[in-house]
Amino acid sequence: MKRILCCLVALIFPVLAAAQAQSTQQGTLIRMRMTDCLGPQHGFMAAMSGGGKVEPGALCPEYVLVADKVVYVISGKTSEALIPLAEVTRFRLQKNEMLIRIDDAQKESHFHIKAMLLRPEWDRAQQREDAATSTMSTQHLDPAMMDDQR
Amino acid sequence: MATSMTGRRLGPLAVLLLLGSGLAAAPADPPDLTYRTHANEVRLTFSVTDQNNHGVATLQPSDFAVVDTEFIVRNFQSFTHSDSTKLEIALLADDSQSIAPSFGREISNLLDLVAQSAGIPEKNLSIFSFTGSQPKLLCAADCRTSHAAEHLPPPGTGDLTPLFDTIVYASDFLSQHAERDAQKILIVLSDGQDTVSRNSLKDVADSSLKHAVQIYCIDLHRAVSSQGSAVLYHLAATTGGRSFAGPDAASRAMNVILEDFKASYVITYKLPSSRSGFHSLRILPTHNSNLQFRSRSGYYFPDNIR
Repeated sequence: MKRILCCLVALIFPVLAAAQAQSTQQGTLIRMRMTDCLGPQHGFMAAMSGGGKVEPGALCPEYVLVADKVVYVISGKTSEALIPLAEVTRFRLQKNEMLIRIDDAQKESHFHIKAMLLRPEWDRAQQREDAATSTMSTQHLDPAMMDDQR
Repeated sequence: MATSMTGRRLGPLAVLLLLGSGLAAAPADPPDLTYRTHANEVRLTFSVTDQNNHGVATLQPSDFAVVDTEFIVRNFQSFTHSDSTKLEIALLADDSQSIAPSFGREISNLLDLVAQSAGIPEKNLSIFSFTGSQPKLLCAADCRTSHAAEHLPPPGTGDLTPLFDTIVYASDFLSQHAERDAQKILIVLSDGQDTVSRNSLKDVADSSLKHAVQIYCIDLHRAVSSQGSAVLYHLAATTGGRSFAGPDAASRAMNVILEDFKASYVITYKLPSSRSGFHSLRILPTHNSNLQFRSRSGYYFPDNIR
């Protein structure tokens, strides 16, 4: 019986690990700002238990994370929820939250997902923003230089 | 601070125009020239310490990222270690009556420490104070060793305290006299109290940020905490310096300044946004969360650089 159990564990563990690995995605953090902390997402339970209270005026980090197909705007639950700004950030989604393992921490950190945008939409918005910025900056240039550039 | 970069053709054009104006020799009606430039590079000096508060001398560009306003910058146009011969230090001695008891001891300790610090050229040290309501440069380039004591005002002689004006004055001086790549440090020995300045605390912070001057404060106030102490702390935090209080504050400050400088770096990167106004700055690690970075809190990008 023990042998069968051992065999089962040996067979199931790699499958579970592979499933976990497959659910992990990666992206790049491109923006960060400090903004008002969000309140508890599950208001009733958190209010009843007294947990999840956010100190008034507290600022939490908000990030824009660009993945292959989707762009996420995520927010830390505390002011200390800082993510190392590496080129690649690995994450997974679970119950409307983003889970990120920071360094070699035992537990993953949970982040609120504030907004999601499909990558093509995001790219188009960025192009519009870039065009507006370059128009603004060229207005400061000398007309003679503009002629020269043409 | 954003640095100005002219267009490629502006330099030769300016030279031609200047030559042309000289040859024409018509002083009565000089040509009305307008030079237009735009800024596209940010230059930032910072220091880094590990979890034991020791300077990190082996930092790599891949170890950190800059958050400029809200844009995360990882690609730097240059990354260099600071050069000790380019450390420009100014000392501001507040000799007002409120700090008289500890003034003499602290300032002489600090001058001894600066004198003992190898690698900092004598020409890179200056001392400021104030007389009445006016800032005053006590010495520049020859302040070390025994000469320094001769320039110091007697303690407790000042009844007015134009502290803010003197900090702005010293920042301007550092900006004008320091080499382009020099790290500019202003050490303020004071209780943080100001009684007569025309400049406000915000003006002081703005001026220091504009000239990239880091302010290290030695709090000489006798009370444990005071409004003056808060002022000194604010100035240090805003400009990327530190504030010290209590016994041996001068020696601790000097040790930290030198330690910070050994682990000090200069980076330049492409301006991520041309939005005018204040651009906040923050440096964060890319993988080692124990690293602590210290830099000025931001810079002002002008509405229209001309």
